[in-house]
Amino acid sequence: MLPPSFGKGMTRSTNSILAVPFAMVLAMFFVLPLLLVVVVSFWDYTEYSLIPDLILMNYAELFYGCFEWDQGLCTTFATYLSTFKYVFLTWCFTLAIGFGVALYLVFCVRSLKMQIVLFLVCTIPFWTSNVIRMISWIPLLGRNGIVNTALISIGIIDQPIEWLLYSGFSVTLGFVHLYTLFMVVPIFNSMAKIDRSLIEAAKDAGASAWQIIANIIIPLSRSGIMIGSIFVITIVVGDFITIGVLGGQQIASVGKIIYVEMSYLQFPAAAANAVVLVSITLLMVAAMMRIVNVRKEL
Amino acid sequence: MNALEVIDLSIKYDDVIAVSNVTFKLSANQYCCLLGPSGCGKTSTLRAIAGHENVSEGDVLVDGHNVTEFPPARRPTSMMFQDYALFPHLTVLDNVGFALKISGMSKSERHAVALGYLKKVQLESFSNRLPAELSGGQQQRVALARALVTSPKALLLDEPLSALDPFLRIDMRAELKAMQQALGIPFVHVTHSQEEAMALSDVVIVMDGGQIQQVGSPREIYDTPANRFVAEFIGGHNVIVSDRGLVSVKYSELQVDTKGETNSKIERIEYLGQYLKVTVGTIYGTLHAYTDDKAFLGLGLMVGDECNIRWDPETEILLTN
Repeated sequence: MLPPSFGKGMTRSTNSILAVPFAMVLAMFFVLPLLLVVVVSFWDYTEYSLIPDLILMNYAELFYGCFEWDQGLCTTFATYLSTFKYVFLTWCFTLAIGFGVALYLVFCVRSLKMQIVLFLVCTIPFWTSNVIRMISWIPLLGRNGIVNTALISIGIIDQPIEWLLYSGFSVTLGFVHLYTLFMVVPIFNSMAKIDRSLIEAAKDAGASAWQIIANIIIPLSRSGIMIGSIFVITIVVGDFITIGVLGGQQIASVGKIIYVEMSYLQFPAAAANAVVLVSITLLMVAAMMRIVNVRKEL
Repeated sequence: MNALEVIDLSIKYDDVIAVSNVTFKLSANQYCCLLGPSGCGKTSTLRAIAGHENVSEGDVLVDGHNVTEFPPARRPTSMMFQDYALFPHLTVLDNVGFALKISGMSKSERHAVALGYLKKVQLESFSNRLPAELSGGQQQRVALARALVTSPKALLLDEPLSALDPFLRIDMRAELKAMQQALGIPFVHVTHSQEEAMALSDVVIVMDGGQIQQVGSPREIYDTPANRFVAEFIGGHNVIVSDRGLVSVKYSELQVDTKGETNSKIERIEYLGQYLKVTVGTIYGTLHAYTDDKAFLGLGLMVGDECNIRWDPETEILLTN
């Protein structure tokens, strides 16, 4: 946090000069590539070449048959629906677990030292790569994996459970495992800023633990909840690896379609798909920002 | 029956004893100040009455009922926090009505009740503001209204005036006193300001080192401090080792002039309006005297001059150590 005096005595123009280097970085590595994707989405292509053009064919193909309602859902809509199903499930579980973990760390762990230790424990999974973390579920959940073997040997089941791996279950589990920390950190951060005397004041007014959570803690940590939600939603919406690895390459997602199109060198089609995905994600983030003014509450 | 009774209260944290064997009683019409330096256990005592502190030994009785084992929610007490602890996301009206919402009162009903309490503190026109949009004094009044909305049997105030500027502090002090008299419930007010305690209290409880040093009316405390700590902390007292042992003599009982033996030396003269405070180096150490300005200035004494300082041995107050 900067002291309040920071920036005083500086004119508007010196302030803008200070912002230039970072603006350049953003322009070079974020705005420019994104513009390129938008431009390419209007190009034409053949099996072996890209043809600069300004056509809407890629978008037309993307939504082909989507507005003939009697035909059932088109592939694109069905894929988006499946993607958003996982976004929603992952969001629900990461929010519930992330909120719970942050609540425990901030309000139940008394000593700062213990808080830091437990917080570091949360980050241990991040010492290995993303892909390794998802692959390590396979020997656990597989047909002859640890879970099935254990359940059979205890005698709870006599046939291995088939839906443990390469299913919606394993994909959701993988997402939740991978991304809960993205929920924990911002929620922890905003909860840590809640003045303890507010909790005492609420207790003094007769509030139970649940009433304190509902009336005080949730409203005061909503900026953290919103930032965590934006992290999780934007990551899961474009995912193709987790869905591929833990879904046994059987489950559709928008990210996976883009990936496949890229591998067939259909860059303009992939770009059109990406533009639509980014637009939808941006709309979602904008809608969430309208609910909570994150900038104001940071 | 006593409205509030604290019996043999002790609070220990691990090995540290924060409060030991505190006992006092208040009736419904008494305004009580817990007075002492920081770390003396006054705030811990207050929090223990409110239920925010675990009591190691002893009992707290409110309105004749033993509430020692009760959580804050079940106690008929209400606390006003030092930094007010207003809920920043709720409007003034919702802050005041919070306890009513918790108790399950309908929205229109609790808003009506809360508005009634806001009227009592002259803030009804601010009901839709957020706490951050109010001045310190206004926030304090909201905190007072919020604390009173549950009709508590005792109000506990943790340094309620410390965040206000000096003029506002004197105004608010009068308002608190008037409120206490109107409500007819005991107020327990934690402060480190002797002036505040003197001006407000019916009962002053002076604390140090987790123990009560003296309980009494402001006048009793000032006229007959029980021990060295009280005499020094309350101000206006010279603590002297005289022929009778450890005694205290009020600044106003000392005479400074040029009569008789002039074996003392004036170190400082401060003009305080109605009187002068003269600091004199003597064989008893440094002593202070309040003297009438005209009479003293007529003597023409200046800093560095030799003078005589004396007092009537009758005015000495014998202190326990």
